[in-house]
Amino acid sequence: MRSLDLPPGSVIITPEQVPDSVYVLKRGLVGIFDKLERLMTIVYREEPFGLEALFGMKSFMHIKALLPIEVETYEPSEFKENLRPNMRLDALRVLSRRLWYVKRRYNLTSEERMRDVIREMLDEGISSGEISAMALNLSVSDALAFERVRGEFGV
Amino acid sequence: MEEMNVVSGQTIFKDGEKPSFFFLIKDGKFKVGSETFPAGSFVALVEYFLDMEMSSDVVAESDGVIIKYTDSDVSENEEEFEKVLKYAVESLNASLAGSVDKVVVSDLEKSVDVAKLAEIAEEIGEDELLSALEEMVSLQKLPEIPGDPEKAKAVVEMVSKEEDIIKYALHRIAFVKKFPDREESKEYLMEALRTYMDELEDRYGARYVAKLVILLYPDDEIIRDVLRKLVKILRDSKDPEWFEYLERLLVAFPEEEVRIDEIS
Repeated sequence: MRSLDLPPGSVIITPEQVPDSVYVLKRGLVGIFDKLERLMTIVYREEPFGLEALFGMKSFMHIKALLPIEVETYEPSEFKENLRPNMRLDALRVLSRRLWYVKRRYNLTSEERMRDVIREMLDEGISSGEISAMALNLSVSDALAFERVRGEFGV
Repeated sequence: MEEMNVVSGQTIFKDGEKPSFFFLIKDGKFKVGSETFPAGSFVALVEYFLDMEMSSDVVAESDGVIIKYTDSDVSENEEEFEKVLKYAVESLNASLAGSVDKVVVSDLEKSVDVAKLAEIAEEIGEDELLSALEEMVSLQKLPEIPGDPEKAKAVVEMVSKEEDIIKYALHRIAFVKKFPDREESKEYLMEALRTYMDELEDRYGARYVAKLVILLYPDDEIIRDVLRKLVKILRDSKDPEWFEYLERLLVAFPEEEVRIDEIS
């Protein structure tokens, strides 16, 4: 195990590469970004990341320090040897949380929000003309998406 | 671990149920909401480990066989643990690898960089785009107020909180949106935020107003509190947007690091 101090902005894992170590965050804050560099979720203290290293898998995450950080790095075999039963459950909980956040994040698509808005407006008895007029406030592409979604409701 | 035969149409978990186990599909396929999981998939893993309710029924789409797992199956058996861990790592990577085509809308989101939104932002300005989207999703129908700021102020001041608390807040927001540079605007907006947050306890309204504060008065000394409030509101309502605001908070005020645990 080695301990590393890194400044904010340091890229620790780049996408499409097999991480060479498993990391455990000891201090600071680390962000997990997608390919478009959108912040998807964060790593809390004492949590591992770079678990792809255990399986020789490529990572599709972009992981970088949001603050000055201190991490411990482990060779994959060393990390496995150190895992106690409760740590195995913690690792699965951590991954479950990240999965949930990423999924939730992508579920918040504009069209889904538009559906919710239109549904609520219809429930409130707002006329189709007024709903249609909302598209006027939107950008061209969003207005097109809005019209498509509105069509689904037949209004 | 326990193996179990299932028949087509059999419901394993109901929408709203907290799963007491997660399972591996050994044979057959399962429908979970709009997704279909083939053999080799683990189902209800996230809900099981996060102690959450299922958000849809889990139904067998064919006859098949499942293997049920609980804590001890993975904590005490290294081989099974690695199998589940590998599946979770692969799933997370697959979600992120397939993300490029998906648009995520939020006001501070870099998704305006996604081709179709970037062009628009260039045309009308990012704030305008964000504001339009915010208004659209907020369901706030702002009242009409006069175009003359003094007359508008008189109208706003006439509405008392006791008479109609929502009208009171909305008039203040309408004034700010029309005259953001007026001296009284910031106080009107902060008052609207306090009203939504403390009196109406309306998280949705509060987050809308908090975002307006950030967009309109980003350099003010109040921004730290507003950001912290917003992180808390979004976090409490389980909205993943809270990460973006947390990031913004930390970038602007790095010393907030020590208080993250408190927010979380």
